[in-house]
Amino acid sequence: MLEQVLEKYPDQVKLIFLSFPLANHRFAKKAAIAAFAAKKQGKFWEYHDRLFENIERVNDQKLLDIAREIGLDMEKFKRDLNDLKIVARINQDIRLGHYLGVRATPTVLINGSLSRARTLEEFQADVEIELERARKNSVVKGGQKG
Amino acid sequence: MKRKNITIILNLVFALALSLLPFDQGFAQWRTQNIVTSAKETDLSISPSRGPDDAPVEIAVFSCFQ
Repeated sequence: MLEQVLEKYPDQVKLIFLSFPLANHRFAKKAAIAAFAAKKQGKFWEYHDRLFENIERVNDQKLLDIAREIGLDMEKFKRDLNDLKIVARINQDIRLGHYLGVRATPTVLINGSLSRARTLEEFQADVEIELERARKNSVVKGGQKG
Repeated sequence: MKRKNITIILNLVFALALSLLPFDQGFAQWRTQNIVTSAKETDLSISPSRGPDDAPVEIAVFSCFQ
């Protein structure tokens, strides 16, 4: 659904990924680490998309299979699976989530505020509000300069 | 006699709970400060993203891969 929002507003919307592996999902944190290991080879989103395509079948072997399928350097990928900086980065996202009261995924922030939108129309409405706000701000800033 | 013992034990438990209260509040305050600080330090600019960097609307999504 958010992909559709991005398609509709290609120049106005930026989508940011934050990790929030839920504790009751056995492979979720490993999968997040694997995705960040893929990021180190510039293929985060490819890996991300393949993971979501295989969301029901995620396990240790699948994480390696996806890396191989998208052409990652497997030696580097396996090394990066043990990279403590990646783990620290993911833990930072988790702490941010706890601070903001995130309990489930996906949870969406639009310009830093928690969004209650659940449908495409609701997301578009939220985006339009933020775009309008940005337009007003740019008018005010422009006025102050002039 | 039995009732007296129960009263003494209850009083002791109550006193113990009261004495632990400042520690508990201090710990809660310490924990809140640390979580808030570390959360504020989260640098979203290094998070994976799609779309233009100068976009007026940023949609951040907490996701779980399973």
